[in-house]
Order: sequence, then structure tokens, then C-alpha cells
Amino acid sequence: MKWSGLPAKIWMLLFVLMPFLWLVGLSLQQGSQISDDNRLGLRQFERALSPPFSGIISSSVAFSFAASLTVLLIAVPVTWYVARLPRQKRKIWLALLSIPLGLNFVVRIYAWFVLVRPEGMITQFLDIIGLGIPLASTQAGVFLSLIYGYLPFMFLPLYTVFERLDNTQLEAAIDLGASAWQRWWLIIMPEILPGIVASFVFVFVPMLGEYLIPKMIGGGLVATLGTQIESQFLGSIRPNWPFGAALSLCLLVCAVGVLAIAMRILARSSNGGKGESWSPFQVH
Amino acid sequence: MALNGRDVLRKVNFTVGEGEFFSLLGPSGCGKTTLLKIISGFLNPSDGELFWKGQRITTVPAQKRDLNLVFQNYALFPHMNVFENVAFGMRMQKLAESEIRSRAGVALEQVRMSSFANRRITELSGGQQQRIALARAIAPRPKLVLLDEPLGALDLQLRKQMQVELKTLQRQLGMTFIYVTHDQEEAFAMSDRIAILNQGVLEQVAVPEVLYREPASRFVAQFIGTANFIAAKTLSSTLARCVSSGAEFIIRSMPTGETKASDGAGPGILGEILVRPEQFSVSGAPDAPSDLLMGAVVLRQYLGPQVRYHLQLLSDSTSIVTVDLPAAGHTPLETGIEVGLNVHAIDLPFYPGSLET
Repeated sequence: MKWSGLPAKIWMLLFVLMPFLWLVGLSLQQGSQISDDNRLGLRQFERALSPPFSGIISSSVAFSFAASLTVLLIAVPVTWYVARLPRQKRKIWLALLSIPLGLNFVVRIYAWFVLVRPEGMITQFLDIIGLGIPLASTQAGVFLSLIYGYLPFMFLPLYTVFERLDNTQLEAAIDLGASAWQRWWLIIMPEILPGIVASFVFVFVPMLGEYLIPKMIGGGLVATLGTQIESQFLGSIRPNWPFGAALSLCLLVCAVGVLAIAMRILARSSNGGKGESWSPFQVH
Repeated sequence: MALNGRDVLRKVNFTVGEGEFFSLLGPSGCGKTTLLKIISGFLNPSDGELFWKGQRITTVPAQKRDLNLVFQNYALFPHMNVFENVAFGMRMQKLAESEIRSRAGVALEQVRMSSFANRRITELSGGQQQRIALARAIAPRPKLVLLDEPLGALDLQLRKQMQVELKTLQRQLGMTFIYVTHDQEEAFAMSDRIAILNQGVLEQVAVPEVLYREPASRFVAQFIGTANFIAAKTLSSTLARCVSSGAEFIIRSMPTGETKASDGAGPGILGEILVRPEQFSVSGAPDAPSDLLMGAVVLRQYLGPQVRYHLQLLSDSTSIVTVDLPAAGHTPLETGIEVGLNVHAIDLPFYPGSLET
């Protein structure tokens, strides 16, 4: 029985713990890769947390948060609609919504890139309806592309949440006199909140580290945490691995922070709700 | 009433009295759930009307009807504790907090769950959840409570106990209960009156005694208790002769389908006589002249208070009759033995018409 945990432990050691410790060790190096400064210190973090990088970190967090929220606001009504369709129609919708998940992300973003170029269909269309926003190499373009890229990742987790929702609970609420609004806030929301928070985190965290979209659509002109890390490791001009490692750890802290907040929300929503404090009765 | 292009309810017409424990009984697919949904307001009938104290309520939405449901799967709100579940209906009615507390307290007391007020729903057993679902339905004090097979998920012992409690509670509250079930024993154990539904048609509405003794149709006779049908031909309006053995029975003709009671009154009509298992008696000496039927014992089942025998009729080898004899009061009959059967009841229901059932 003792040995049953071994594969998991080996996996943890090889692919989580060792790379992480290596990253930490790297980030503590004072000099860049090229210089021979082998002393240890927090110089890389000092640099990461001061302008202009501190600004990039905070704007990346805000940017990803706004994009994830937009994805959520689009995904919730669409998924809600699909989850309540008759079985046959639901299958078709689900299949269509899952197609993007079967395609390689890079391929998908390439295809999208073609559409948002100045001569691309989407840009042309926006021009025609009078919303002539340049999308290539702009914040707006990156924002829109993030939403496009991550929407499919929100549908499926949300769908499983909505599908599991017990219809008779809604009928019970109607029967007891609840209006549509009350049903949504008192019955549905508490039930789906954990699922919504989890789906949000699953989109927000990878989006925070996203570098393909800002790089391709943003054309190197939109700086995000993801593109900064990428250029520190893979950039052709003066790569700096220790600094990239420090930025990566900052990203990790942000992601873990969001996860921690999400966990707190989940814990609070699953402990019986606010009713507890109102009750005049005591448990013996 | 049509549903998905299929007629699920036809010619269903009945009235439930105030304070009555009324059951809708029928096999699955008989339309009882559809009927329940129409009464509760979750379905609009394609045809027909619904009245509440003389007022037409056919199109009144579910929220506005002064009735509450107890769902088959309880449908409790899992993110609320027991108290909040019970209080939900009253919160929707915007009652004062003190009123809500006292009424929820009373309701929890009535289902004997007072000490569980702060518990989470997920911590409760099936039987406890059932009580909370009941408390939630009665707490807003509706005029009518609809129960959709609420005991279906409980084990037999608990179900029997809950039947007694439900009936007692209904009496105390004075509320009207409409109880949907496919379990004949359950309906009999609690109901003042029972409506029997079969394939969307109302077969009979009556008190349990009448349903058992004078079932209006072959279906009701078979669905309620155990039925023996004996092919017979009427000699007069009150006498019929067994087709295979020639034995004579005193009958009362039952109306079936389109025929009226008076139609079956004449002589020479083919049909079937209903004999309940306990209406048979076994004659001491086989082949006595008074015996109506002869049968060979095929199977013996000991059921506690009585013993059930399955006998193959000698006059008609395709017919098996079921006979119940009191366990204490007869010498056990071995399998294979031939005995004479008497019927010690008169006024046996007679169903004219085709013998194919």
C-alpha cells in the first residue's frame, strides 16, 4: 500500500519540485546568463518589481482579469442556453462548441491572425459597421483575441456545471412562489458559483502567462508578462534567464493568489450558506 | 390532454374534497404525473379545466397557486440548511421574520425534526430529507399539498412508518393531500378516496373498500389486490353459470366501457366473475356435490396470517386460481392434491364482454 503513491511522488519530484527549485535557484543569481556574476541575491526581483516591469505585471493581471470576466459573461448565457436545449439539439451545439478544443491552439491563433489583419475579414467588417478599430498590434486586438482563444475552455467546464443543475429544485422554487429573478439568485447562483469560480480560474491562470496571442496579434508592441518572460528566455537580443525566472515566479505568485481567493469563495459557498447565522435553533 | 402529440389523459373528471387524503393510483405511464403537473400548474392542459373552490384556475401560474409540492427526489436546496429550506416558501411570501421562525419551528416539530434545524441537507438520511421536504411544503400553510411518490426511495420498514405519520399529520393539519403513487398498498394505507388511472383514463374513484369489493372494471380488479376471473355466462341478472364447470354463482353485473349497468342485466351474456382469494373455501371431502370447482394444488406459499395456494382448475387446465386460507384453521394441502372449492360470498362482480384480458 505504501508503494501506491510512488508514481505520483516521482512525477511530483521530476516535473514539479525539481523544475521549481531550479527556477528559484536561477532567479536568485545576481548577474545575467552572460555575465560571470555568480553571487546570489534578490536583485532580479527588485528589478521585476520596479518600473517598467511592475507596471507590466499589474497591467497583465488587470488585462487577463478583464478578458476572463468577458469570456465568462459570454460563456454563461450561451452555455445556459445550450444546457437547457432538448437532448438532440444539445448534442449538435456541444459538438460545434468543442471543435476548437480539437484544434491546435497555435493553428487556431494563426487562422485568427489572418482575420484580424488590416485587410482581414473581421477588421473589414468592423470598418463597414463603423467600428473601425485597428486590431493588429493593438491592445484591443489582443483583448479580442484572448476572448476568442479562451472561450472554448470556458464552455465545457461551465456546461458540466449547468447540466448537473437539478431541474426539480427550480420547480420546487417556483412552487414555493419564487420569481425568475429570485430563482436565479437564490437557487441557481449558489449552486453554480463554485463551477463558475473554477471555470474562471482555469481560464484566468493560463491567460496570465499567455504569450502567443500578444506576440502574434500584438506584434511585439503589446507588452504582457507572458511576452516578457518569453523574450528573457528565448529572445534573440540579450536573453536573461535569471530575470526571466524571477518574472516567472511573480507570475506564479499571481496565479496562486487568484487560486487562493477562489478557494476561499468555494469554501464559503459550500458551508451551508448564510442561513446558518439566522437560525434560532441549536444543534444538540 | 395531449403531450408531445400523444394523448396522455382523456376524460379525467373528479373532485377532491377539502381536508381529504386523496390518492392518484396507477401503473407507471398511466398519466398520474401529468395530472399532478396540471394540478400544480407546471403544465397547461391542452383541453379541459381546473377549478379551485368554484374558481377556474386552469391558467393560473404555479407560483400563484395556494398549494405546495413534495417531490419524489425531495428537491431540497442543498446550499441552504434545514431551517432555510423550510423557511423558503414563507420568505417568498415576504412574511415577517418572527412569523417565519415560529412557523418553520412548528413545521419542523410536526415532522419531528426540530433538532435538525441547523443541519446541512447533505448530512441528512433519505428519510430525514423526506421529512424536511414535507415540512417545507406545509410550513407556508397551503390549502393543498401534492405528494409525488414521496416514499418511493425509502426502505419498506421506514415507508410503513412514514405512511402512518403522513396520515396522522394530514389529519392534524386538516390540509387536503393529493398523493400520487403506483403502490396500491400505500394508497390503501392512507387514503380517504382513491382515483385509479390507467392509460390516461380514470377507471374509478372510490373509497378503498369499494375499490376492493366492487371494482368498476377488470383493470381495477386486477390492479387492486389479487383477482381470480372465472369465465361465465349469465342466466339472469343475478345468476351466472361457470362456462367450464357449470357451477352457478350469484352475481352483480358491473358496467364496463360503453355498456351501462342495465345492459348486463339480461341472461345469456358471456363475461367473467371476480372472486377474491379469501372468498374461496376448500371443502373437506373432495367431489362433494356442493363443490363449485375442482382444482389441483400447484404451489403453496406461507404468508404468515394466511397460506396462499395456487390451484389448477380441473375443468379448465389453463386456469390457475389463487386461494387464501387462514394459516390457523386448515390442514395444509400438499402439492398435487385435488380439492373441491366453494365460494362463500355472494354478489360477485361480473364483467360482461370479451374474455380476452
